[in-house]
Amino acid sequence: MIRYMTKHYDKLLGLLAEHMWMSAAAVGIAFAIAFAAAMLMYRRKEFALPVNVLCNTVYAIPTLALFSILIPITGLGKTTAIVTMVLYNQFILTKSICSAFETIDQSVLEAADAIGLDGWQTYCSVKAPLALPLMLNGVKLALSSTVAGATLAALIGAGGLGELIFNGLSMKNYNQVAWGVVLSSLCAFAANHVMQWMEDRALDRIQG
Amino acid sequence: MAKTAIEFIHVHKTFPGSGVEAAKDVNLRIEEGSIVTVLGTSGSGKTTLLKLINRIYDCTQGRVEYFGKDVATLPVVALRRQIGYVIQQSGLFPHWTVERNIATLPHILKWDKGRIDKRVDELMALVRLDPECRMRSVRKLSGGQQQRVGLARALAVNPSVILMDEPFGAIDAITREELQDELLALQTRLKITIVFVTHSIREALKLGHKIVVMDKGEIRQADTAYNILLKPANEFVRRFVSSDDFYEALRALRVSECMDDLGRAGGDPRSSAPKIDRDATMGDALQTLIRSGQSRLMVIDAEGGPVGELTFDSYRGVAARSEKDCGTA
Ligand SMILES: Nc1ncnc2c1ncn2[C@@H]1O[C@H](COP(=O)(O)OP(=O)(O)O)[C@@H](O)[C@H]1O
Ligand SMILES: [Mg+2]
Repeated sequence: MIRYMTKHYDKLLGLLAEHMWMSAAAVGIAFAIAFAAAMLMYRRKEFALPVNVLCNTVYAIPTLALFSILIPITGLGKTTAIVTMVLYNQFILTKSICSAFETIDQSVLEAADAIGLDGWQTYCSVKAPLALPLMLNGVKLALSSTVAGATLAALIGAGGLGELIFNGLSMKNYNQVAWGVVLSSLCAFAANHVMQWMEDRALDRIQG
Repeated sequence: MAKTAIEFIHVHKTFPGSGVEAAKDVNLRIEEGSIVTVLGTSGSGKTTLLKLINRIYDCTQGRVEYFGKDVATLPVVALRRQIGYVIQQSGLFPHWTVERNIATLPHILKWDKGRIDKRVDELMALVRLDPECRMRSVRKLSGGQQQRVGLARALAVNPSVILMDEPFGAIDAITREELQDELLALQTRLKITIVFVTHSIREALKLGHKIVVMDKGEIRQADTAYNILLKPANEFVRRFVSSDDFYEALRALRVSECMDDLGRAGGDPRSSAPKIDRDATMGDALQTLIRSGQSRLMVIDAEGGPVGELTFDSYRGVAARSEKDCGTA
């Protein structure tokens, strides 16, 4: 296994980087979309139900089925992989962003309003910092599942650590498979820890 | 006559949807520099009354005037910054220190750092917060201390009016008395106008220059503690405040309300009669009277000049009136 690494370390590092940026991009884009959707649901309650139903439905579609729906539109490759991950993440992210804002203590918001903070000031100095820990918790969950799920991207030629696993399996190169498994697990583990650290720090600030 | 700080003029408030009339033809004048307590059971419309002042709610009918101007015509954020607001749950920003909470408005108004620091010093001394807790998180404070921070935050940019919604409602009895006494002292010093909501009869009588008794969105009586206790305007008020406890009444009544004014003879400042401050309660005065072993007290004003006298007869008057009221129950 070590020999495999010394021989192919450039390939391993390349795939690892590809895996990481694909996951990060998917979660980043997903967060931006989910944030907008969550704000809409938070402001206008009538949007909450339809958005939730949509997210739940998409989440229930198996990955391979979703690939086959998307391939005719976005083709084989990274675009389809990223779009798929973005769609799945809506489920976790819209829920956590919504609840992050909904669980803010009402008396705090009432006071902010009553002492004369305007909407934007309340948003920046009260709502956002108080919602941050729960939002980061959502990002943590999204990132873990995305890093794991991103191995499937290799099936549609999008690269990433999944390539080691699937190619390794078909060529019976178990050293390669092992590296795929180890690296993608490490990657998920690291992402989880970084996010946990950020979440703890944000939480510390509001209730330490 | 003092200037009018706030005036309710035929104010009605109905919440859309519920149809509950939380304010029904409310007419009320709040004098500048006075404390008005709003007393009533839960759901009687006390909070609604407060929130109509700083436009958290808008009147369905009628209008609220702030120093002669209809609040509906004033820019809402600017209005709220001139009106301090303190609530029971404190509503402090949990992610900030004591200092940062107190300086909320000065920060928004972009005061420079030196000015903010100085103001925070002043305010912490004013509400008697230990300077040690300045950099502490507000979550680490006791309930009483949190209310002090809330009050300091409300006072930060010298508001002319402060609205307080059951601010001491969740505080233990001893701390509560302490906070009430300090609020009274602070109000006397700053001459600020305070509208104070409470469901404690004792608190309302103790703090209010004027007490507003609310029921189902209507004002049943708005009057001094003396009149609320001894001349209730109607059956509701009589029942509501009849603590049928003579001593309870003594705690709420001020000497100045029950004393005999000085007769033509005037008072002799050198008289040997023990002295009592006109703002003391009748309860304190009774203690002084009994301890002194004499039959009269000389009532003096803040400068020490005689303004009236108090005898056991003054107490007979209070007792007779509360008994008469109880008798008709
Ligand atoms: N935002 C609101 N929407 C609908 N009804 C309300 C609202 N706020 C208060 N009410 C109703 O108005 C009445 C008075 O409430 P409130 O002013 O909060 O009473 P209090 O402060 O004396 O307990 C109650 O019947 C309450 O249910
Ligand atoms: Mg209330």
